[in-house]
Amino acid sequence: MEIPISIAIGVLAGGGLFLLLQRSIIKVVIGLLLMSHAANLTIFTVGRLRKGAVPVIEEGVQAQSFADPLIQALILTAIVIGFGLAAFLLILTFQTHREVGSDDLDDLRNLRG
Amino acid sequence: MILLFFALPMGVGAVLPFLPSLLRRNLGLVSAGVTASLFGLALTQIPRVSDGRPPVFSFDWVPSMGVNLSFLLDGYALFFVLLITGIGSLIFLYSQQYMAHHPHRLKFYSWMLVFAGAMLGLVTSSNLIVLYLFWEMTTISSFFLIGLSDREEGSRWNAVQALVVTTLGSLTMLAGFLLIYVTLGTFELREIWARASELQESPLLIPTVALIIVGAVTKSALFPFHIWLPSAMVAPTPVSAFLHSATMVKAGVFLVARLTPVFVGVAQWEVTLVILGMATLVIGGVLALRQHDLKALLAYSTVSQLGMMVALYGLGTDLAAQAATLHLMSHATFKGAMFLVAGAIEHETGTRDLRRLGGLVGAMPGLAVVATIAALSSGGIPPLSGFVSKEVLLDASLASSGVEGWLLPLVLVVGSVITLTYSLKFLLGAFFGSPRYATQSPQKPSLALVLAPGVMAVAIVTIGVYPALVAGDLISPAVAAITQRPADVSLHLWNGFNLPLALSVVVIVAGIAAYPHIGRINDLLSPATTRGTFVRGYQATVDFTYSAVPRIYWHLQNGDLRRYVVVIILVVMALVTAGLIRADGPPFSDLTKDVDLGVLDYGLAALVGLGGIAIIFRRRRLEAVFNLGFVGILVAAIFALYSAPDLALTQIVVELLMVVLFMLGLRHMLRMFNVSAARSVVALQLVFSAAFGALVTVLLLAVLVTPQHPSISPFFIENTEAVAKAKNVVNTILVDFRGFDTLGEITVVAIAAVAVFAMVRAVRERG
Repeated sequence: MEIPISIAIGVLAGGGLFLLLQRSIIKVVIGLLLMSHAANLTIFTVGRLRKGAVPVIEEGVQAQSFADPLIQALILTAIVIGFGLAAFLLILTFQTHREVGSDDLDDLRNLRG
Repeated sequence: MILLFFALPMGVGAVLPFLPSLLRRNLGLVSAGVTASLFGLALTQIPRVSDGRPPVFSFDWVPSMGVNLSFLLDGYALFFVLLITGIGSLIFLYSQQYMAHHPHRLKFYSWMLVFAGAMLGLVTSSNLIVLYLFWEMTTISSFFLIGLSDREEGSRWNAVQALVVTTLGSLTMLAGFLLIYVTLGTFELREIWARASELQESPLLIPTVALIIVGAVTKSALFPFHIWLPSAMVAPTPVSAFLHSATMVKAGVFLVARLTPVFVGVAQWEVTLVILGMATLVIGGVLALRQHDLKALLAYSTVSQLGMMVALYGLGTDLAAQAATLHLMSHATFKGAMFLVAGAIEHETGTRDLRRLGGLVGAMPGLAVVATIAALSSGGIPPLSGFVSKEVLLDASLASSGVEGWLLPLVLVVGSVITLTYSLKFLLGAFFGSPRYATQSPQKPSLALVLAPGVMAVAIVTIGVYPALVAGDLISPAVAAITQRPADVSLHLWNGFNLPLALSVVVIVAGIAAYPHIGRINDLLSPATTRGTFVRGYQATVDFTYSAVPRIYWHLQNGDLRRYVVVIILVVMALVTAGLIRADGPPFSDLTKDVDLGVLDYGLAALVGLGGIAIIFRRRRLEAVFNLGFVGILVAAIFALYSAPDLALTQIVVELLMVVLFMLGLRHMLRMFNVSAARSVVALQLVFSAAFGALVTVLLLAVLVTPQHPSISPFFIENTEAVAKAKNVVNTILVDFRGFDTLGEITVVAIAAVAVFAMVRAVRERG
C-alpha cells in the first residue's frame, strides 16, 4: 500500500537535496521546504496509511480501525512549526538580499570577517 | 562525622577572605588548627576501626545511575586521613612563617584548605564516582597552587602541563570506572570488592585494568608521565611538600591499593604495575642524582619512591601491602621534612642551588640535625623509620616467586643504593663541606621553620626505634583493609641476622662508596636520561594539538553551507547503508501483500514525484514558487486521501500563505536567480541527489516491513471522549493532552509573525 508514496517521498527528498546544493539562496529555501514535505510524509507513512479511518469518534465505529491520531498530531505540529520557520527564513533571505544586493551564497560567504 | 573530614577544610577555605583581620594575619595557625582538630578526631576513631567496625555513611544521590555519596573510614582510609591531617598541620604551621609576606597569601591558604578537604574526601569515599569527583578537585586545586604566581609565564606553563597530564589520566580512569559499572552495575567499592571474581571473568577486564592504570600512573607521576612533577616545583615549598610529595601524588598509589582486592591475581595488573614501578624507581633515582636544585632533586626522588610503592602494591601480597603502607608513611615524613628543610634553606640564603650552597651546619645547626635525620631515613640508615620500612620492602620482594623472586630484590637494591647516594648529596652538599653561601649571608631560620620539620624528625626516630607503636593500631587495620583479609603486623627494628639485613648492609656500603663518584656516574648515564626528551615529547604533543585542531576545524567549518550539507548527507547515507547491510536485507517481499491500490493512489504519488522533479528545472522564480505550492497542495491531497483531514486543511492554508509570502518578497528580488554552474558539477549534484532519494525510499520501505512497536495512541482514543469530552482525537491531543506543547508552538509562530510583519512594513515604507 505504501510503495508509491515511498517512491514519491524519495523523489521529493532527492529534489530537495539538489536545490539545497545550489548557489541561489531562493533555491536553497525552496529545497528546504521540499525536504520538510518529504519529512512530514515520511512520518505519516511510517505510521501506516489507511483509507476511510478518520480518527473522529462516532457512534458505532470501532476505535481499533482508526488511523494513528498521535502521528497526525505530531505532523500537524511539524507543519505549523515548519511554516513559522520558513517564513522567518524567507524574511532573512529577502533582508539579506536588500542589504547585500545578491542572492549568491558564494558572494555572501566572502562577506565573512 | 565522616563528612566533616572534607567539609570542614573546604568550608573554612571558602570563608577565609571574610575572617576578622586578627585571624587573617594568622591564616597558617587557623588552617593548622582545622587540620589538627581533624587529626584529633581521626585519632579517636582508631579503636573503632581496629575493632573492625569502620564508620560508614551513605546518601542516595543519583541512585538510578549508581552514584551515591557513600563514605567509608576503614583502616586504610584512616591511615591516609591521619597522614594528610598530621603532615598538613605541620605544613600549615610552617607556612605561617614561610608564606608571611607572599603576595598571594590568601589564595594560597584557600586552595590549600580546599585541597586538604578534597584529598580527605578522596580517601574516605567508597563510591568510584564520588572518588573521581574528589580526585579532580585535587587536580584543580593543584593547578591553582602550582600557578599561584599567575603573572609569571613559567608558573602558568607548568601549571597547565600538570593539569593536562593529570586530567588526561583521570579521564582515562573515569572510562575504566565506567567499564566496571558496565560489568557489575555498581560504583560502590564494597560491592565491587565482594564481586571481584565476576569482574575478573569479564571480557572487559583487560581494558578496565589498562584504563585505570593510566589514571593511577599519571597522578603518581610514574614513568613515562613523570614530567609534570618536577615542573610542579615552581609552586611555593609548602605546596610541594604537601601536595607533590606527601599526599596528592599518593592518590595513584592509594587507588592501586584500593583496587588490590579486585585485581589481585590478574597477571596484566600485576606485571604492568611492577614493571612501571620498578622502571620509575630506577629512572627517577638516576634523574635525582643529576639535580643541583634541591627541590628538583626531591621531586625526582619522590617520583622514584612512588614507583616503588606502586610496584609493591601491584604485587598484592599481604607482606608487600604491609611494606608499601609502612614505606608510604616513612616517605611522607622524611620527604616532607626534606622539602621543608629545602624551603628553609631557600628562605634564609635566597638559593636552593647545591652548587652555591655548602657548610650551612655552622649557621643553622638545628636545621642540620633535622636534615640529617630526614636524609638518613630516606637513605635507609638505622635506627630510623626509613630503615625499618626498607627492611620490610626487601623482605616482601624476596618472598615473591618466579622471575620476580630475584629480579625484584635486585632492582630494589639498585634503587636503594641510588636513593642513599642522592640523599647524601642533598645532606652533605647543603650542610657540610666548606661554607659556600649564596649572594646573601644566611640568617638563622626562625623557630617555626625548624619546628615543623623537627616534629617530623622526632616521628622518624620514634617510629624507627619503636615501630610497634604504629604496627598494631595503624598498619594492621590498613593492611587488612587493603587485602580484605585479617592482618597482624608486627614490626621490629632488629629482626636478627637475615637476608634483608645483609642486603641493607650492601646498600649502605655501596651507597656511601658511590657518593664521591657521583659526577662520573652522572656523566656515564647522562645521554639516556635527560629531562629534555620527555619535555620535548610533551611540548610536541601540545603543539601538534594546537596546530592540527584549527586546521581540521577550518577545513570542516569553512563557511560554505553546501559543503556542510554534503558532509552531513554523506554521513547519513553511510550510516543508513551500513544499517541496511547489517539488517541483512529486510523482507521486502512482504510489501506486495494486502495491496489495495487504486488510480487515486498511483496518480497522487506520480504527480508529487513529477512536481519534485520538475521544480529543479525551473529557471524562473515565479514558476518555481507555484511549483512548490503545487507540490504542497498534492501533499494535502495525500493527507486527505489517507484519513487525515485535519492535516490536509492545515497544509492547504500554510501552502497558500507560503506562496503569498514568496510573492511579497520576490517583488523586490529581481536578479541572480540562476547562477551558471559547470555541466559536470550539475551532473554530479544530480547523481548525488538521486542516490540520496533512492536511499530514502529504500530506508522507508525497510522501516515499513519491520514490525511496528505498539502505539500509545489507544490511550488517547479511549480518553478523548471519556476525559476530554471531545470527538476529534487529533485536535484533542493538540489542545488538551499536549496543550503545553502547542502553547510553545504558538509562541514560535507568533515570533515568526512579528518578523513577517516587520518585513511587510519595511517593504511598504521603502516602496
